[in-house]
Amino acid sequence: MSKAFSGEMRLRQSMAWIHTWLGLLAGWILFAMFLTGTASYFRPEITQWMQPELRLAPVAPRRAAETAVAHMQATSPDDQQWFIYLPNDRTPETRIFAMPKPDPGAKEPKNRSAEIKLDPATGAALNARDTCGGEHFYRFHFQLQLPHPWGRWLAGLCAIFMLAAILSGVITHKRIFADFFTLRWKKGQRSWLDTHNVSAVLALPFHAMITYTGLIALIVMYMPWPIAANYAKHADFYADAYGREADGDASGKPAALKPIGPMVDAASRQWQGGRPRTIVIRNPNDSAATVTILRSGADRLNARGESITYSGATGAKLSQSSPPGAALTTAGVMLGLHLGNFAGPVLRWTYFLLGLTGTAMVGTGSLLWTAKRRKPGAKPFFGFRLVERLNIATIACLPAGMAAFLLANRLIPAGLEGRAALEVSAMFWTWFGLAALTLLRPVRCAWVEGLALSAAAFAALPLVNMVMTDRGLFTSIASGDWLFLSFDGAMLAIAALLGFGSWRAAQVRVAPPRRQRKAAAAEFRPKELLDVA
Amino acid sequence: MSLEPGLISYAALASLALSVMKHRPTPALAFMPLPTMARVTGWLLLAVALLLSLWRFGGPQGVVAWIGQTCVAGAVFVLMLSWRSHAAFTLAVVGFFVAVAMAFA
Repeated sequence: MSKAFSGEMRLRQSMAWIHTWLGLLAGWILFAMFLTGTASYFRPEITQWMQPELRLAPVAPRRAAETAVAHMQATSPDDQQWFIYLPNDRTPETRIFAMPKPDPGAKEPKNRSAEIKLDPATGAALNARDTCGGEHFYRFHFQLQLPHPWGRWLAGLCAIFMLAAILSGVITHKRIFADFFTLRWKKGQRSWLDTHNVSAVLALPFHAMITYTGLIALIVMYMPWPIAANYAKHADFYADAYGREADGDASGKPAALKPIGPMVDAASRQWQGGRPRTIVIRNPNDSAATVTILRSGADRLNARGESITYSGATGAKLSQSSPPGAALTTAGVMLGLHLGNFAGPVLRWTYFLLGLTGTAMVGTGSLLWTAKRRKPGAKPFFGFRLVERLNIATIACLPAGMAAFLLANRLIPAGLEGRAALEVSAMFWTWFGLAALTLLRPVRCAWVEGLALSAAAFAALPLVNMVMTDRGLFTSIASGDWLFLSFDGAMLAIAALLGFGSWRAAQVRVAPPRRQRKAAAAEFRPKELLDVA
Repeated sequence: MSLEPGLISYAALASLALSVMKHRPTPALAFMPLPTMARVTGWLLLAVALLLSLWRFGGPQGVVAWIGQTCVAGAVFVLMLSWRSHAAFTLAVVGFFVAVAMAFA
């Protein structure tokens, strides 16, 4: 053996060690992050599905801005600030957060109001069931339902592990090109390795991009020192980087707010057709009023938009965000690539499928750890049993929890107090409850039954939706309601996928003698299928 | 619906698979290029998919769409290849012509 060769072997071995143990430690959290992150590509669509009462036609930004301002003028003209999210292709309603004037007597500054939802065409307030919607999966994806800042720290740590696992995995994998298309079924450990390799290698650009940009998205939190070394106050950095926000006080001299329509048009003209996304009106009906219009990032890779500020009293342009430099553009594009807000339907589904591939990569990696260490006949050691059980708890039970979140949305009465929190609880009670229950069953049955229950929960969604709302599957087909139709279709597809997993888990024999495996599987199939049913 | 880059990428990857001895299906396909020919065709088709993607999605997004759709096409192809290898290659030919029709439509 030549010296160079043995050196390469040693490198591969140490990388394999890193890959195995970093991957194992972070695997369960990463699986949950990948799955909920994948769902978050449809964040506004999930929110729409979770408020089936709302049926709104698309409205131009200018009209929506006018009705929003008219509504706020009628209800609370003396606020300090109105924060108006205009509707877009994916969120049909106008959303407003209002901040009342600070009370000089009060010590604590007042919080912003609850979200106000408006019909953009008329400006009438909308009444829909209270829900976190797709926002829940999105927040869980990087906050993990832990108190701030621990969730974000843990997510960042796992992302670092993921990045290290990707790099070490590429170095360890000797046959990237030779095994590029290789996937062999029904070969035990070999099959898990193939699935892990194929799902990782084929979508490697996506995995590397999503992990790196995910880490970069919270970089200011993870690496605060460069800013701390150069700025006394954090806010000064943001002012330098993104321009100073209009935060002036009211002058006390009343002045009517100029119509918002022409300002929206002017901003859109300056952006050469770029759509406004958000309007911040500070000190309305005061001579010092400002109207800041922020650009939508839906048509560009860069997630950070430009802004223009107008005087509310005269309608004249006061300032605009300075053109971002190379560093800020890079940061914006990184964030944009991660969030995928620029993506149209085709690209968004592409992102979604790639996210599922990533989930499969993490899941099969965890399964591979046990497949490699399973010794037929020998009593499994404690760590092995722990990993095996955690795998079941994550891979088989988390989908049931996510389905429970959606089911709870349909089953909890629409007017119930605190229902949004109940929906979230439903996810975690179902997830951890089911995980606890699987402990009572032998490992094989736990896999089969856990996956089957998850499949059943997803399959139930279209049915429950049909019973509890007037936007069931057949109605959607008849009325061409694409969002609800696709949602039902996706739920059934996920149910089929989980059902397939359950069926496969029922078929696989634990390390039978090699030649008899096929016969044994065929012989036991009817019984196992009965177990599933 | 700009699926052409993905369909062409699928055909490209199928062609590249044909250039690897162990993936060449038996019995042979009705039309099966030699390994070298298959490799050249595969890389050419990947380039065509990139151009189509740039044309359909525009500059920066085109690159993202090309990489993304190629990755998904790869996953679909490998699943098909492991399940029904002949169908996997037939699908590549069908997909290619559908993409051409879509591009000119």
